Amino acid sequence: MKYKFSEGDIVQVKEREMIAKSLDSSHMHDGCLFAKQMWDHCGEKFTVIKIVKNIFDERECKIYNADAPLYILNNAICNGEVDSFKQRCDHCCFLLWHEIWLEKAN
Amino acid sequence: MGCQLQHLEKLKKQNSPVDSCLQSRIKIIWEGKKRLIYIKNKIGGLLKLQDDIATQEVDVPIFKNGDRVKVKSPGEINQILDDWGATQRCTFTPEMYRYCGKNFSVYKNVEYFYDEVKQRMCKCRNIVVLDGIFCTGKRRTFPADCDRNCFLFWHTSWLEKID
Repeated sequence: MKYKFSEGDIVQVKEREMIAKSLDSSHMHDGCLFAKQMWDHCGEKFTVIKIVKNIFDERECKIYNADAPLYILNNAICNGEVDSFKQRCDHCCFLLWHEIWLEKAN
Repeated sequence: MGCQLQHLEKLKKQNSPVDSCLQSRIKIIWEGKKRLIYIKNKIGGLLKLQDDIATQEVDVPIFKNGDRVKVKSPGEINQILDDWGATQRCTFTPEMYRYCGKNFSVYKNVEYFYDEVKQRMCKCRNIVVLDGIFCTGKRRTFPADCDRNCFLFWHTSWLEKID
């Protein structure tokens, strides 16, 4: 898989309208969910800290290749507020960003 | 709208049958290894004098977000771990030993977390995550490293407050 960005690159999250166009009815692109809290980051700049090439599935105890170009960005951590959860999750996962939602920062 | 963890399934590229079979074998080996360590620790504990057996109460400090803490030494932590290498079911993984004796800030107290294995929200106590300490994703037996960069979970008994 080809990746547009490298680790250390400064990227900007695209504007709402552009991201909205990329999402299907389940708020996903290529199977990657654009979570509600991610809208707050539109227009913000971040550093790419990792390209997510492999994902460990805790349930199956197996490692899988990611089927989409995904990145994790510095300080873009889930705040745990998810509509379907009764409690706020404190897991503090890094949010996964699909390449299509990002552009190189000027 | 849910959480990205609930939809990880959709992000996975299917493994080849050979790879899948090899990884299933790793899981069986892991489970066997875990049980062997448990038996070894159990027998080791039984052979020791009663006084030496780790029956002492575990000191469980409470930290606030932002508190500066020091990770205890390997010797101190090993005394707190049970026969499964865990404290109150929080596992101290081998990669955590490298942080012993070092100072960090508490990033967050963990009260609830989404458990990927159980696929539901779980309540926990005496767990914190430390600022800047992430899982390396390296597992010798697997064909590749995990890139999810998760925070490691720390039981508060493994830590001590510093001024």
